[in-house]
Order: sequence, then structure tokens, then C-alpha cells
Amino acid sequence: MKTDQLVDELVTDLEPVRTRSLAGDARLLALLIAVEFGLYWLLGSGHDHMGEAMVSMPSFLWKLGSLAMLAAVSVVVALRSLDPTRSPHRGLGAIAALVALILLVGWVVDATTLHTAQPFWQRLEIADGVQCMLAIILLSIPPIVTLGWLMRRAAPTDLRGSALSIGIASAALGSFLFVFACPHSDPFYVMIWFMLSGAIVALVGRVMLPLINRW
Amino acid sequence: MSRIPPVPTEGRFAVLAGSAPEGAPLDGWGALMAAAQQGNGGAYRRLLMELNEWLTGFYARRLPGPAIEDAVQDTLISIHEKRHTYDPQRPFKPWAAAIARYKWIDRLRAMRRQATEPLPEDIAVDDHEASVASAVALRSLLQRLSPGQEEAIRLVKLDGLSVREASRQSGQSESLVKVNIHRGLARLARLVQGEFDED
Repeated sequence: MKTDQLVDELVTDLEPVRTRSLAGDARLLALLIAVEFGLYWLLGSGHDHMGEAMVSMPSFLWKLGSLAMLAAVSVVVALRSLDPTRSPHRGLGAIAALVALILLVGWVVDATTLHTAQPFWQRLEIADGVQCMLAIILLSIPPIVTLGWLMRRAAPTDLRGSALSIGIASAALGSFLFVFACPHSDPFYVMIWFMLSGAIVALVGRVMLPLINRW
Repeated sequence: MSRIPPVPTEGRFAVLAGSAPEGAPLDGWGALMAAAQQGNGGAYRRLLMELNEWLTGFYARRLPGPAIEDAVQDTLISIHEKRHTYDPQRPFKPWAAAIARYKWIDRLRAMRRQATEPLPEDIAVDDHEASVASAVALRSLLQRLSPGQEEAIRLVKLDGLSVREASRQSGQSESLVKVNIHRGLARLARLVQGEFDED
């Protein structure tokens, strides 16, 4: 087929379109998170002593603040990376730096506020930890599906980078939602289990999304 | 080749160009795409024809001759399918160049995947000459298509999938699968005809 013929076909196929905007995508995602949070709370998954925990436990505030920040930064990086002219590499670098900072602050909180003599393997609470991990992975599914759909609709030119940033953003959103239900605030526990869950979700995003979003 | 047309001064385009906020980088192609996003076929045709020229120059510096037209057509289809991702408040050319570069890299990867490998000489074979020859000829012909065309034809025409199933499996949109089949078959017909003429 000659290019002129192709142009004819494309012009014939032309229909008005609604332009994609980062703000529109962000609003859709915010709505989804609000609905997911509401449903999760209504299903009785909320922390029983939330107010008390917030006031009395610096480690809870560290967990909440860190995950809120990580979720916000990674969502911005993921959504911006869907623009064909933007690369997610600098954003991924910023996320890596933020994670390092969060771990450092967690270590400081752990060292200064929790004077426990328990060995590390006991602090892991493996049975609870596995449940937390599964819950975070489940809570990450709606965001990764939504962001994956937004990726398919958009025109990312660095599929792997966008996929990784979407995986991280979904994991951060799932973890942030789970903060309100997680019975543990031991920084060591949080660092291990939340990081493990996040790594699994990010890996799934990184591997799967480029396969289904080729264009 | 790469000139940016002036902002149209008449009709609907002028309204669109004029409606941009002061200081917004709405260039000539940007105004044409903004009009196309509203469904203006005339503006779209002009944009695609000018992009065709620009893309031909772009790929001529980066790809071997026979691959240029396919690359241009693939990019035009992608621009068509992703036209809603262009923000009229931003310059058009970086957006189009990013898509052209993406398709170029995609094509280079496909060309690397299609590199030929010598067959060992000790492969045991029964006498299936006719079917082997047909399979080799078909494979050779399909390899001369673009990766998108080859995949669409293989899935729908050889594996018997529906357009929707092929779309799901290949990651191409349904309309792109149809376009790729149409273009691929036309190209195959030309290739076969060319080989007949040579014979």
C-alpha cells in the first residue's frame, strides 16, 4: 500500500478524540484509591486503635508518612512517564533515593524508640508477615490494573521504565492503604514485609506490563 | 523537509490557533493536530502528508532503504492511534519525534531478531521437499514484512485467530491488526508477483 492510500484510510478513520491529561489520569486514580479505601474500611479492616497509635507511636507515624510520600512521588513519576516525550529514569532515581531515606529514618526510629531485646527473627512475626504481604499484594491489584490501563491508553516510549514505575506506584498505594489495617508498627517488621510485598508487585509490573502494552 | 508550517490564518484552524493561551507553544503542526483532534479531516490530511515527508527524511538517515516506507507508515498509524495523547498546549514536533524514535528503536530490535542463522548440515530429514519448500518460501516472504504485519497475518490468516484474539495476543489494536493484514497481504502479493516476473 502506498503511503498516500494509508493517509486516505487514516483520514477516513478520523474521529474527534478527548485529549489525555495528567490531571485527568491523577483524578481517576485518586477516585479509585478513595473507593478502594472506603470499601476496605467498610469491610472492617481498619486498625482498632488508630487514634492511639497515631499519637503514641513514632514508628506508626514514620510508616504512614513514608508510604504516603512514596505513593505520591511514585504515582507522579508513573503518570508523567506515560507522556512519549518524558523518560522515567530521573523519577526512578528519585524514588530510589526516597526509599533509601525512608529506610534510614526507619532505622533511626527503631534504634531510638524501640528498646527491645527480641532477636530479629522473632520480630519478623512470620505468620502475620505473610498475611500482611498477601493483603498488600491484593490491595495493589486495583491500582496496577488502573495504571496498566492508563499506560495502554497513553503513548509511553520507555515501556520498561514506565512499567517499573507503575509497579512501584501500585505497591506503594497498596502498602499505604494497608497501613490503616496493619497491626504492627515495628520498623524492622515493616521494612522487611512491606519491602518484600512491594518488590513482588514492582517485579510483576515490570515483567507483565511491557508485554501487554506494546504499541 | 522538516519545515514547520505557519499557523493557519483562516477558518477553524485560525480559531484553534487563536484559542491557545498567550505564550502557549502552539506551532503550525500543533494547530493542525489540534484541529484533527476535533475531527477536522482537511487539517489532518495536510498534517499527515507533511509528516510523511518529514518522517521519510528522519528514517532515511537511520534505516536501510527498503525499511523506510514501512517505518514511515507504522509511525503514521501510531500517530493516528495515539493522537489523543498530544497536548495542544505543548510543541508538536518533540511529541512526533519521540514516537518516531520509539518506532525506530522497535524496528531495530525487530531487525536484530530477524538476523539469519546458518543451519547445521547434519539435520536428518525425510523427503518433504514440497511442503518444506512452501514453508520456507512462506517464512521468507513473511520475514520481508514489518513485524506488525507479519504477526497480524500469522495470527489471523495462519493460526486462525479472530481479529479480536489477535489484537489481545499481539498488543496491537483491532484496527491496527486489520490495517496490518490489509497492507501485509498487499505487500505479499507484490512480492510474489515480483518473483514471478523475475522467473
